[in-house]
Amino acid sequence: MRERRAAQQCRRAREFEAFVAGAAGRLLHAATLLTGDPAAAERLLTAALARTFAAWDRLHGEDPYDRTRQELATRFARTMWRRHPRGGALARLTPQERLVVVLRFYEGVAEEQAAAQLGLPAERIRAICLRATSTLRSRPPAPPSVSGEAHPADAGRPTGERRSSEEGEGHAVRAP
Amino acid sequence: MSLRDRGQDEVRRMLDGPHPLVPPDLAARAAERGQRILARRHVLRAAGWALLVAAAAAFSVWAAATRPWDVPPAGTTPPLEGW
Repeated sequence: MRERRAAQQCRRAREFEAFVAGAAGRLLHAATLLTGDPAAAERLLTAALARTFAAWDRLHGEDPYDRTRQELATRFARTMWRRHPRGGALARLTPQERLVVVLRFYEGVAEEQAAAQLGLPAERIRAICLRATSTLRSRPPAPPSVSGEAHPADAGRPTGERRSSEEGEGHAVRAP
Repeated sequence: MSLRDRGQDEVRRMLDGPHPLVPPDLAARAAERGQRILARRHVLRAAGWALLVAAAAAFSVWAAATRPWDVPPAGTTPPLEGW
């Protein structure tokens, strides 16, 4: 009994290592796009991979890559209201837009599947994609310090008011 | 190719920038953390079973001591005295 368990643990460790060796580069890039910060991306990915490892014996033929990606998305969606991601290639997008853009355009997840994973209607996913695409194409990436003031929607509104309204939104979403 | 597809392709190219370097000990750290999750689950399950067994044992002892299925002595009949 003990030997069988040790053999199973050994096999799991080997398979997991092979999986990480193949998938970590792509997943880490996705995590970096989401968080915009390499250190935070690494933390996020380590946590997601750990959950995949814990579920390894009960995957029942499910793709571990899909599992880890789902875990990554869920974890990011849970933490993004507390720690706003900044910087990176998608610096001008909101956390939700980042998540949808990475899932749809970088990972190539189908619209319906992304909608099911995030618990949103498919039309909403499409709308977020369109908005994010137009935001990303509208202007070339600017340094973060300038981009906040240059936003046309913010003109005429004091910065402090904008920040407080943003925080209010965050609370409203986090509350339920 | 429609205008929308072109826009999406542009975004895809934007996303496909330089890939970050994967730290060599990532798999080991993730595996260690996953092992900790498994161990924690194991401990929680063991504690749950222990609690269940303890509750069952406590109930048995209480039931054997008080015998709640016995008919309680009738309080309405007056005690028989004076024979």
